[in-house]
Amino acid sequence: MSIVFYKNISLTDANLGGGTSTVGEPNVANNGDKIFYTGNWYATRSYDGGGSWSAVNPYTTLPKVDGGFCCDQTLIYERSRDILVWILQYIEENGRNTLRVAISPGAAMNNWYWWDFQPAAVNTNWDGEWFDYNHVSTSDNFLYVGTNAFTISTPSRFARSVIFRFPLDALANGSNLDYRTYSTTTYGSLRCVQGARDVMYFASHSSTSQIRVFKWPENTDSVSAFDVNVSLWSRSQPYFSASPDGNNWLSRCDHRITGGAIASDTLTFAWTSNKFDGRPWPYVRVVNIDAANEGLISEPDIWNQEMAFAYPALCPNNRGDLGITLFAGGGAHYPGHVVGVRDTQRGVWDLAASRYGTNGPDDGKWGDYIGILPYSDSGASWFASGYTLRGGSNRTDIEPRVVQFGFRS
Amino acid sequence: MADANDNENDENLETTAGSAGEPQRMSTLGALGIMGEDEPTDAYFDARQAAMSEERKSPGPPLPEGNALASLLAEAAGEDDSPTEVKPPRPQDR
Repeated sequence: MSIVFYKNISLTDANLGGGTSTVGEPNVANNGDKIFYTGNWYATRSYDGGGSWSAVNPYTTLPKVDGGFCCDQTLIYERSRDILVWILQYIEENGRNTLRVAISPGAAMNNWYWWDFQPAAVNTNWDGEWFDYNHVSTSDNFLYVGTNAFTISTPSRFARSVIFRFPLDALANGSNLDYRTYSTTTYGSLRCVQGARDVMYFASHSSTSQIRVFKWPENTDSVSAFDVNVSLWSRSQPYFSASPDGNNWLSRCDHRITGGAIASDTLTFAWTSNKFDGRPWPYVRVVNIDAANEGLISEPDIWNQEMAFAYPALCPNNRGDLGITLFAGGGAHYPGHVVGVRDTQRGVWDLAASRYGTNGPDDGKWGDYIGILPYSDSGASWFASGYTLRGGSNRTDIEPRVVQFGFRS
Repeated sequence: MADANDNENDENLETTAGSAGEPQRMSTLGALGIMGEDEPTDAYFDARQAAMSEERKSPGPPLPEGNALASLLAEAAGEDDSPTEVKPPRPQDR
């Protein structure tokens, strides 16, 4: 199996309207040849498969709320209802902030309506908190938005992790939106899987040798959970991987689960471990779990002796193959953007770099996530987002990337 | 607004209902004179980059260290014990 790049596009300031950061957080979603792309602190769209781009200013496209647009944009295109979902986070002001769930139906990608969610309006017990670090996923009939809530106090402390569940029909119809939330103060950074059908699964760590997996069937309002023992790994801080210029690009990296997927009844979760037990650099921990018997299947971690791997995101394609995107760097390599596929026949990851950078970040800041989604039709390819530094080491040298890839057997 | 749920410990597996009502639409807000904010400057973006900590916000409550016994049980349960070291990913042309 080898990776095939159908698109491998570098985005420029002219495409984005400027406003790049080394904490890039790019996401991409497509509807055929229509592509929407977001990151810190920009958005852009293409109507011709990535040939040309028009900047969409996240500060001015939608109305200001709280202290104004912040960050943590995430995207998903939901094929069955033909809607593009755009999540935006706003800056805390006067003791609250807002998560905005914006919808654009059809192919236009510019006809937005939206709902705003502030912590105390969602739950009176969450007064004095703000939402941060968001992701989005779907099942057959629901949209899920995961986020953490922190206290407004100084220093800001973790308060809870929240999963919102919204009915897709109400989102698509732009009608009255009833929803449900699951929240926990015990488990942080709950991560939903991509590829769910009639049951959503999400997970968090119980310890460095166990994860807790939550199940939320579409036809119930209750969640259940089971624990899975996994091999030990390290969450010790700080994570370290120096690029050839000596810059540590993993100073912000931590252990939260950043990738989740379900394909062929196998749950896969992935996160970044610090160096541990013969693995000399931070690496990507991967666990495969049987969704039916709730037991561990395998642990196909991504690591090697020369470089670090970090910030994995996972998604099955429309045929059930498992795709991944992540960063690799350190040793002789500047941080690069990598995509890949799990070859279940050979039991290996097939990985390829969309591009390596020419520099590391001079302020050590990188992350906090990248994205991968299936191509919007029934094909076997994926769209992934990433970035590198090219020609310099500060935020204006960031080159966001749009990659459509598949594989050849 | 959702009902308050004040029982969010690790045993709580209940969910809470809420309602967000009808969506907001640009046409309605435009008629009210509510618009987007000013376009930020490069200096603003530089300040945002500088303000980001080298350390991310906490991923959650303190995470307990695991134990070797659980780890051994996991290794015994997993059927894939082959080395998973990967080759450095190579750039590929389209």
